[in-house]
This record gives sequence, structure tokens and C-alpha cells, in this order.
Amino acid sequence: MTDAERQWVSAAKAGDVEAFNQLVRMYEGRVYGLAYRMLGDSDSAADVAQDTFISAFKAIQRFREGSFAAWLLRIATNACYDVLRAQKRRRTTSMDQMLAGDDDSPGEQFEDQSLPLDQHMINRELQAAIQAGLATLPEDQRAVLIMCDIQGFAYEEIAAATDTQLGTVKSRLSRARAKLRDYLKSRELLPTAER
Amino acid sequence: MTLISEQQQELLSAALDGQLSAAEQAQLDQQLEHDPGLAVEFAELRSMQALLQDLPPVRPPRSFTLDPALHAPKRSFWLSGWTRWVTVVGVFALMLTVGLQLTNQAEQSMTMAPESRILSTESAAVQSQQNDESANPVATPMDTGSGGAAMPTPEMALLQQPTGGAADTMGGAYPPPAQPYAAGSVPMSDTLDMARSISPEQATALAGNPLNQPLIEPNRTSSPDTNELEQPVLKDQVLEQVAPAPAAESESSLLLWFSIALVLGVGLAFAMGYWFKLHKQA
Repeated sequence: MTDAERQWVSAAKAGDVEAFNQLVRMYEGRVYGLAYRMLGDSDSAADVAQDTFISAFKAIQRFREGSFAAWLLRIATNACYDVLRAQKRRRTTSMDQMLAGDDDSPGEQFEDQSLPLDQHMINRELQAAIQAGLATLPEDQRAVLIMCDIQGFAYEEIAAATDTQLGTVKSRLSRARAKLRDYLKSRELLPTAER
Repeated sequence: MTLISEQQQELLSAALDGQLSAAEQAQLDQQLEHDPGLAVEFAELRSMQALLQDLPPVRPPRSFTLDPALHAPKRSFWLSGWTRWVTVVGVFALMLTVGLQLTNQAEQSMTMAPESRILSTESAAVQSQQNDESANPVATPMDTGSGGAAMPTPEMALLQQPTGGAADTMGGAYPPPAQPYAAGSVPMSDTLDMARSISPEQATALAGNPLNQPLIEPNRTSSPDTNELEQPVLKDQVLEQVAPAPAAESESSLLLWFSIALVLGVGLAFAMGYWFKLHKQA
């Protein structure tokens, strides 16, 4: 955690909303990204991200030391689990809507719009396939894979964010990678291995 | 496709992230050289990881910053730092003051109770004497000369001093005995206050004055009727000397209890405030 983060956290603990908003601006991309990859739906992801920051501000007095990002992602991950459980109860999944051709496709959420059209289409198809592959993973494995390979968190931060041991993180990550590799390979979306 | 164990899978996954030790990495390199299937597996995992890492970041549809007007903590007057403590301490200080005041009043009423009994006794005695005098007006001057007007107590002596001396020199011409006892002329409480204002030395000096000798015999009962007047006054004097000590002890004890209550109250208020704050944040 940087010095600026520490100052913002201290000010936020004193009730400074503007200081907390500095933290929001710093982490809203990661929080929303995690929620979007976990849920596959931009509206649900936005709701989760907003709820995450509101909950974090209310509970910031409980944050002591360590990675603020990990603490924030832990709140976001739990919020995602809640949404997924609610979706299961309603027997509707946003991923089904996305695969059925809903306008809210993951490709439209990405920032890089400067690629040539054909490359853009390929990337969009690949990204949709990756998102669909992520949706096939168990929730705990999905969260670990997103945090590690997409968002680049270290094992220790992932362990803190998921409230698990390092060994559990390694194990979940290994299984998630193997499953997603199989999923993409079955759809011939994985580049040919060269060795 | 080569089937690899879960342990080998974890080893490959850790190798992707550079989490292996030097010895583990050397061992894996040897396995990869001798096992093509394992090498392909490792290459596929590396490709997939590259795909994930190359995913463009997701753009949030809007900002998630909080509105200060909506989310700024509403610091109530009671929960704000120093005002809460000032309020708590002020309330307990007020309680302490009021409690001590009430205690003092209660103690005063308790110490005044014997006096009121004495006064009622004295009033009864005076009333009976007045009745006797009115019933036997002729005998009164004679009785007063011998002892009816002889004041056994210093306050009576003080009241009788101006006229008593003159009466003695006038050979028994005594002032009307009913005058100092008259219910309306001199209030009994006033006489008691005047008597209390005299120190024992002054009382002794007054008693030793020749002018007062015929009138004042502090330790002698001059008549059977005065017995009732002497005893309560002496008790009252003893009570006045003894009473202050227990009162002081009681006051200090109450002060101690109120101090303990103050500390406990402040601690309780702090605990409740802290609990409420945590509960509100949760």
C-alpha cells in the first residue's frame, strides 16, 4: 500500500468521503472487472461494484493493515457470491443471456476499440469464449483465476481476498487453469503449443 | 493427451507464476525434457495464461464514487467526541451536586428532629406553668422568688439578666415570669439560638456573676417544674457536640459512593457509545 493510499484510508476512517473517493477511482476498474468476469453481466457487475464501495466505506474502520486492494476485493468477491446464489435461486443466469446474443456482450465492455475490424471481431469472439469458459468454472476457482491471471494479484493477496491459505489458492488456481485450458482447447481457441 | 497427476498439474501451475524454488524448478525442467506430454501440457497452460493476461481491461460503465451528501457520516451531537464527554461529565456532576444537596438537607432535618422534640417539651412545660400561674395568680410572685423564675439554663439566665439583677436589688420585685416564656413575645427557637451563640466560658461567667446568682444555678434544680426544662436542653447540648462527626463521615462516604458512581457511569457511557458506533457502522 502506498503512502497516498494510507493517507486516504486514514482520512476515510475519519469520515472524509472525498478521500475515500480517491481510493474508489484507484480501484473501481479492478472491482468492476472482477465483478464483470465473475458475473458476466455489466448491470449486475455495476451494482456489485457500487455496493462494494458503499460497504467498504461503512466498514473501513475494520481495515487495519495489509493490502487495501485485497480487502476491497474480498468484499467484492463475497458480493459476487451473493449475486450468483441469488441468480441460481431465480434459475436465470446472465451468461445464458449473453450467449443468446444479448446486446450486453462482454466485447462491448472492453476498452481497446482501436484494432482493425477483423482483429476486433476475432478478439471479441475469443473474449466471449473466455468469458463463457470462466462461467463454467466453480465460483471459488473462477475468482482465483480472475485475480491471478487477469488482474495480476500475487498469491498472498489472493489468499487474503478469498480468506484462504496459500495452498488452497495454488490448488484452486491449478484446477481452474486446467479446466479453462480444456474448455478453450475443445473449441480450438487455444493457440497451438509450440515446443 | 497425456494424463498428468494433480500434483504435476499444481507444479506446472506454480511454475507458470514463478513460484517454484530453484530445486523444484530444476526437477521440473528435467521432467519436461523427458516427458513430451508434460511439456505440451505446460505450453498450453502458458498460452492460455497469455490469453488471459492479454485481455483488455473492462471499462466501468460509470463512476462508483460516493456522493458526500449521501454517504458522509452523520455525526450526531451525542456521538461527537468532546461534546459527548462534556455532556456525560456534566450530567454526573449535576447528579453529584443535587445528591449532596439532598443529603445535606436530609441530615439537617435529622439533626433538627431532637430540637423540635425539645421545643415541644419546653412549650408543654411553659404552657403548664402558665396554666398554673393563671390558676394561682397570688402564689406566683412568692414562687418566683424562690425558684419559679430561677433559670437553670444559660439561655434563660441570659434572657433574665437585665431584669433579674434589678429584681434582686429591689428585694424580690420580680418581673412577670410569664414574659420570657410568652409564646408570642420571644420565640423559643430564638432563645435557643441565642443560647447556642454563648460559649461555655461565657455561660459560666454569666452564672458566676453576683447579679445572676439568685437567678442562675446551672446544676441545681430550683423547682420540680424546672426539671423538665433542664434535661432536654442538656441533651440538646450534647447532641450538638456529637452530631457533626457522624455527619462528616456520612458526607465523605456519600462523596465516595458518588465518585464511584461517576467513574462507573462514565465507563458505561463510553462502552455504550463505542458499541453503538460499531453497531451503526456494521
